[in-house]
Amino acid sequence: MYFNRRAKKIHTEGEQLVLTTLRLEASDLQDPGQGTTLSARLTDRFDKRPACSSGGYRKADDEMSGTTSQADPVDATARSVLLNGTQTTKFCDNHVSTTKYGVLTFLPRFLYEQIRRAANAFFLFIALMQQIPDVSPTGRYTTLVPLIFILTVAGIKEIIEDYKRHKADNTVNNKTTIVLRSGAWQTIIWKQVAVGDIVKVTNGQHLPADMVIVSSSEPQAMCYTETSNLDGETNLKIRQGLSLTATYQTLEDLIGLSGRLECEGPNRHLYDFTGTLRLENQNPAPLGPDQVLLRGAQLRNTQWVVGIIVYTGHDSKLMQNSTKAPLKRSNVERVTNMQILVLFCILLVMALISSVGAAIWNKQHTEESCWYLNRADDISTNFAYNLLTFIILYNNLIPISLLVTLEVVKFTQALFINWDMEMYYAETDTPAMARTSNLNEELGQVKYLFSDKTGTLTCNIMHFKKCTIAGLTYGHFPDLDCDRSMDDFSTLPASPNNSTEFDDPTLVQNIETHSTSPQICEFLTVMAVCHTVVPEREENGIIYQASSPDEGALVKGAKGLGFVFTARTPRSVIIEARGKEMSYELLNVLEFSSNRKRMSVVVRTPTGRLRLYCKGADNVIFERLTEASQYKELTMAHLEEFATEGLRTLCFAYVDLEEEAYQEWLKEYTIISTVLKDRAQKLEECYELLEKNLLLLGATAIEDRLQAGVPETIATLMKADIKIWVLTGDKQETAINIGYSCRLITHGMSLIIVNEDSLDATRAKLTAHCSSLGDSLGKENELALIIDGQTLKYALSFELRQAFLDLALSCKAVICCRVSPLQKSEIVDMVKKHVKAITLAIGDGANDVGMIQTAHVGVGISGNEGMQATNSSDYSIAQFCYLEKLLLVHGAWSYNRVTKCILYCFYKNVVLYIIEAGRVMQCWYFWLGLILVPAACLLKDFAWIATRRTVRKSLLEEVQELEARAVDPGAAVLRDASGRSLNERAHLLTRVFRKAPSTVGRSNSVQQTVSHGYAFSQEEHGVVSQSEMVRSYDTTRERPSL
Amino acid sequence: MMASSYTAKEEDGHITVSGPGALRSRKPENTAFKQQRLPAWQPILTAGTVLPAFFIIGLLFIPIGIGLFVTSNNIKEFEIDYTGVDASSPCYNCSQSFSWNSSRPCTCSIPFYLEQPYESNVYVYYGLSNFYQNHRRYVKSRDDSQLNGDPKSLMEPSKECEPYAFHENKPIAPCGAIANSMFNDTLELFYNDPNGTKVQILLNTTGIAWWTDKHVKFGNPGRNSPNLTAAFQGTTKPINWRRPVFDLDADEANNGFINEDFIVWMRTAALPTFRKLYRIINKKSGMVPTLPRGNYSLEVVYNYPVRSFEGRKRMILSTISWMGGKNPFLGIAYITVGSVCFFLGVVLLLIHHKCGNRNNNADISN
Repeated sequence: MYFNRRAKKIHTEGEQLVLTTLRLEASDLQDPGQGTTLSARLTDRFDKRPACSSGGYRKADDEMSGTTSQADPVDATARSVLLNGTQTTKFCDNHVSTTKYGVLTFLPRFLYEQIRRAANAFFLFIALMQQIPDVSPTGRYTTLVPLIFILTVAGIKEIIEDYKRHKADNTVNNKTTIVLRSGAWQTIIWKQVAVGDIVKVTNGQHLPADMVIVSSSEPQAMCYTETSNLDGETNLKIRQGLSLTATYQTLEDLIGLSGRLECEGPNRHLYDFTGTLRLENQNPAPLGPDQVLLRGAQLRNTQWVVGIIVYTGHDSKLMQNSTKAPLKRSNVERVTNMQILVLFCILLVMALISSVGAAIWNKQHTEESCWYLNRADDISTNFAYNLLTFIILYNNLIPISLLVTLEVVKFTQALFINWDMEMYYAETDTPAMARTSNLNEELGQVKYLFSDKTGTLTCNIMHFKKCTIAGLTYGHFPDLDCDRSMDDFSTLPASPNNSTEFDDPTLVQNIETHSTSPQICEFLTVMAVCHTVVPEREENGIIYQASSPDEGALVKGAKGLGFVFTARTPRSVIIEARGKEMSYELLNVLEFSSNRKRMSVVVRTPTGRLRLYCKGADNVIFERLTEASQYKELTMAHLEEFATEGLRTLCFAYVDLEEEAYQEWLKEYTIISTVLKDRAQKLEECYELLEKNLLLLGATAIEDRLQAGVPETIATLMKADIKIWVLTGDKQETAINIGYSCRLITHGMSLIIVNEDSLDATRAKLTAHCSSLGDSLGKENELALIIDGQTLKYALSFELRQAFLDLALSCKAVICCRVSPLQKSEIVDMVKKHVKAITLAIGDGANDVGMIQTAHVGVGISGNEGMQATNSSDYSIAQFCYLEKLLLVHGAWSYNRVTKCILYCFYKNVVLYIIEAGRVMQCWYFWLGLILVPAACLLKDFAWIATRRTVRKSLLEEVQELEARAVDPGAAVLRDASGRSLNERAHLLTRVFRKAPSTVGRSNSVQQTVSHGYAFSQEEHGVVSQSEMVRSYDTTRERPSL
Repeated sequence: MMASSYTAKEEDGHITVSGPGALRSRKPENTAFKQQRLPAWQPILTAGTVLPAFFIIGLLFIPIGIGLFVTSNNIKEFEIDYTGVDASSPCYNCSQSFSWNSSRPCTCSIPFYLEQPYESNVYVYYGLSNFYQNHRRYVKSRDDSQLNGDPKSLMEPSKECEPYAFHENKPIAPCGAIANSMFNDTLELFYNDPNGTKVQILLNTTGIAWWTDKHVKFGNPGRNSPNLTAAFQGTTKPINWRRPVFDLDADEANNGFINEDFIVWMRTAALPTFRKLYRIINKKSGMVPTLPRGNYSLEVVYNYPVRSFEGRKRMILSTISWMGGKNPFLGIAYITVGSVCFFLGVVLLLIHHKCGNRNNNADISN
């Protein structure tokens, strides 16, 4: 049991004092699933920090790692790391190797890999048999030489690939970092980093190994990390060192550190860590996952951080999680293998029949009678030898050339993919790349597409795009309905439109003159004041460090409009409103949570008034508006507009507070904030008291920019009958929002949202939905299924798997949000196993690697910073929209051509080698025959095809004919589309035609559209609470540096 | 199991920023080949395009077929089986009394009647049935370099020849089972003149082998040495042969390995029933037919045993045309294919007429 193990571990570490409480907890909570909640609470206990772990939803990963740990044998032995001293035990070094072969191991390993392939084994067998004299009717080397050739080519390919891996490993191993060695900071390369080293990592650098934070440049040893390489979450995570060590900042302090760090052995759970720091002359302090920085993460928004290395090299969590890329085989290859097997059986049967025949012949034609043959003591009369002889004789039935030919064909196809100009992204100078060539034809048969959201569908750049203030909208309104016409299928815009910045002169004018000017000013003030962003002064301006990209975009937007957020002190926010510096005293931060869907600040304005600024989702804000609030309808209409465009909206409101009421509230708040039981919930209730009678100011619209051509591509792919599932680690609202903006979900669609937190509830919900679908279950409906990671955990359990799959397959679109990397690959695996269809996974981050490797075809988005998805993918493209050409053109062509090639190879071999015995006639006979035979053979095909074409023409054929006659096929296509069903390639040609959204009424069990594309990304219940974080900064002062 | 693969590049994505312009753009070239824009032609088979082709093929093939068939039919061929299986057959005795060691040759004479005169050159073939010259082991049992006159191979025949490589410690020339089983019947033709005289017909022994075989593939050891006997010194004759290889023909240019009968035999037949060219009767000058109508007799020196494997021996007389010997198959095939083409053309025409137009309109508008 998960938590029992933990309890024991802590016990062995001798934490007597804590142990008692822990035991108590353990006896309360027998549900192992809650183990992590427990552990979170534990850390809370230890640190005496305000608890914020209950309520809200935590990411399913934690639970997942909990469950996986049950399956894992408890093999990890605790390790003890000495600070500033030589380690007593030897740990794995920080050298990382991802190569397949060494110099010595290459040959045996490579040969083993090759011979494991059935065809190679067969040819080796034939080649060996041919070495027996008198058995082989063919030459000795007819099989051996081609086989050696094939193996050599494959070997060279492997060597090149492995060499690349070696080189890449070396680059990583030779990266430099700063380590405290022999009393001074020394720059050393990564592979020399050892357990127990004190390492300093500066902003923007990647962490060389897993380490425990000692101190950082930020207050209270905080630091931000970007862990998208590990889990794909894009918002920055705050990690915090122990307050015990936070003061160890200077070199002398660090040299003076002595003691021991105990922690569990290396394991693969990204979200778990237990350890104890025993500094000399200090009480032992517990360490949890919040104190750990993992290899693969990047330090952000933090000048520097100092940490003690605990896991290095292959012990690090990142490496523990890495899996060998599985060998993927395409469907065609599988079928080909089957056919080869069938051919082998035919061959055996043929050989058997032939040798029986030979035996009979030998019996009839005895040695005495056939005096001219002289077969005395000849092996040709031996049945077994004859069998071998015939196998060798007929071995050409299994085409050895097929393998080579296929390799060459596929390699060329891969080259064509690499060479495709239309899949070249000029901005990052990235052409498409086929990293494996053996899946080309698979691309043409994709039926299910699993896509990541961030970085794949979106650019992961937020922009303040529009706003509505006091009933007036500002910002650009680009033409929405600019569908690409048929002929520009290939010419995708090379770069997305550049109107990224909010730019509307009317707003600037209106600030000055318009009647709504005060509201506008207030609105912009809220934008500049109500947030958790930390400003950082650089030589040329201010850099905003936001853990939530939305907030960053808003603050930046306000800055652009003359409301510059300049500095933050623990008690105030300083802004420069149109050149005038104003200081807002920050009294309270009413934190954001996904339950509340809003965040507020209580400030004292420079004029001395008490005011509450609030921003949040439209529905929660509108609920709390006063009757007197204006512009409700107008704003609502504008929000609707924004949402249709797929923008992320936030409503802004304010209320002036009465001094006495506030003081009263403050008292209550102070009491509640020290309550131990259900504090978070009580706090929320407390916040509620203040957030009422709001006055609406307006709303902002932030664009989570989609990559160029994403909606069009999705529409095309959906028309090609490819089902698209979006699997994202992001929040539900964001995911739905993106679903709308990329037109995966249309407004005519009903959403089925499944958010449950127990197996039974999930079961009930799934069954209810399934039964309400009735007959249409299993068919495609105008439905979108939205499910979150927590529920998915239950839905993917063996028991509910089928029900979930039934429901998911009945929906036109499926969006899974807050899923862990593991779940991503589980979903893909489930579809792969239960639906006999080709799956494709596309993603850009390390969190997508699992599904990329699991799916039949994995596509990585390249050109961005992280290359991990690209490196494990089969194809890499720079933009999502290139998928269209990759699948519908290259895939379809490859499939067509490869299958033709395979069939031809079989045909050729059968014809060539079975008819081999027949001798070519001489002179005229031969030449006349040469004309006759093909004519006679083609006759049937020609007649059949011509007849079919005349009698019943398919659309494709019709288009071909028209094209041949240089007539525009558009008319035929259009007319046809109205009536007949189109085949896949015809779909391609009918892009101009759009299906009208069906308006099928849905049963009431299906939830209707939720709030208007509200979205807000913010780390919740993190190690440092939002208000605490805000309070800890004073950007008017210099930060400590080393 | 969480699968997040670790690869080296991931951590240095932003470090490897190359200087502007330092790297060549990785933009693919815009060539017709790389962008798959090369001109291609894919025949679109519709009734319209196929119809003329069918008619043309039909109209071309039928005359060719008829021509071939007629030519083949005009070839005269006469075949006589002289194995001597029946007791009534003149060669019955010879076939019965065969023994490998008999020194006295057995002869028999078979009379036959030619109903038509044979004009132009007449080719004399011997035919064997149920003789597996295509046996895998048999086919290989020869030494081509020995036959080419290589002195080293002459004395040390290849292992493929076993067990006909050495006899009594002497190398066999020519070695191998093929050579050993060489056809050694002697066939002679006599014309029985109506006036009672028996005229021997002159049979040409040369010109029956392929030129390349005779001049390239086969050659006597010590090509230039006048004395063939000396060249074959130290070798022994194949076991079944009566005479050594250097004593096959009196003519020096047709002796030894380049004896044409030998060369013809060494070109193994693909099927167990085969015929090999034996002699050529050259056309006589003037209007006299090469073989006039009348009675003939075939004199056989019966040496070759075929009864043990139930084989048959035949003598064939045949004239040839520009397309070779008699074979009506190709003509029939051409006629058949041509007719089928023509027929299909007609059928397609009907289909095209009935469905084509209706299809074009109705199909689109429905």
